[in-house]
Amino acid sequence: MQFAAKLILLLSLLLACQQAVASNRFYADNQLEPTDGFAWDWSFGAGYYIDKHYLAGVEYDDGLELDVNIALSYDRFYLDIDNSQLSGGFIIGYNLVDQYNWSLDIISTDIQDGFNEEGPFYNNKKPVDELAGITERKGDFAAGLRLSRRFDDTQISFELLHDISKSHQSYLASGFVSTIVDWQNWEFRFGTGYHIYSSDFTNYYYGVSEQEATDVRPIYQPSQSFGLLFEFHSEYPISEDWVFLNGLLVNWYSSEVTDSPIVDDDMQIKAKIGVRYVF
Amino acid sequence: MYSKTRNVFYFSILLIASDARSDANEASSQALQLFATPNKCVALREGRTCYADIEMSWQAPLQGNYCLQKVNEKTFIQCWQNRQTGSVSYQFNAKQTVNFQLVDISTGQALYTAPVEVSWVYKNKQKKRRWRLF
Repeated sequence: MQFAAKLILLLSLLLACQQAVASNRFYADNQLEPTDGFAWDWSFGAGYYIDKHYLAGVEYDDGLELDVNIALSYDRFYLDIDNSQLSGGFIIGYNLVDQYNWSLDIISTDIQDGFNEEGPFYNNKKPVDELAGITERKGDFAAGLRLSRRFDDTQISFELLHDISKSHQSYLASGFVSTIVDWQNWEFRFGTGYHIYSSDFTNYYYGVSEQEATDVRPIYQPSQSFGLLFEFHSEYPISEDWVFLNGLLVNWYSSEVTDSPIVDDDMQIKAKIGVRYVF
Repeated sequence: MYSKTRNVFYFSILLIASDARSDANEASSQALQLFATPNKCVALREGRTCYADIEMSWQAPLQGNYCLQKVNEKTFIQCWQNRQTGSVSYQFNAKQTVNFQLVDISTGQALYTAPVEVSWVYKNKQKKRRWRLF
């Protein structure tokens, strides 16, 4: 990640600025496509978030956060760091095919946040007694293929990724459907997705090993699990440079996850309200 | 004593003249005006229709019959009879800058024009390169 940040800075300094539009791979207006030469843009923002995590003992968390969003592309390579949409994140990719509204890409991205006995790494309300003594679960970084098809403002995509970091080192498959709806000066984005997590993935994050087991935390070895997500995101132009935005992201998890002794809810909800300055 | 009184008299004359000149300038500047408030509409993305509630107000030098319309359009948004001032709320929607004008119905002459500018937050769409697989 540090390398990527340095690369972005270097490219920013060396190459001329050409304004592009920030993107997100879930949505039909994403700009992660072949371009003529180099294009980039960036924006920053600030917002207030509230998060209800599914991990045992982790209460509602809220706070202010600063966001930096960067979209870079050079011919068929692209990099996108999107922190303004809750479904966003870090993605680097290469477009193999872009034809008849179909795209096939090699991508690498972070899918799962890590956590330790203090809860998720961004958790402000520590300690978490229910997680005391568990070993750290590292966030992953997965690479693989993404196949997507656009229908005007709607997009369908499928991803098959494998972790290339030192976390679960296994497969996960996902499918997403998203659409963009305009109303007056508002833009509404709706997205839903389905994840299939391998048993290694599920076991890495939600299993309880013999070393972690206690009187109230039995050993747990789950099999393959599933997740369903829903996202709502909206934006409204305040001025030529400022955008108001808000979003809601809900993740549901199957019983293989929710039966885990370190999980006490079948869903995670995160909501956000904020502004973004666009250069 | 006489001199002092005369000076006060001249000074008063100057003040009155100055006020009169100031009033004349003000009247001239307010003689004919057309305002749009706000005069800018911001959409999220380039090419999208921009929506805004615009207050159009005008002031003419003489009482008369006037109509408000978009430049290059035949239909009137609103007309006023025997009026020297007027205003109307207008639901603006356009993809690019629109000029409004106040027309004197008796002469058919456009008296004044006021633009409502359309701009965007995300101004440029990245140019996509389409290429063949084979």
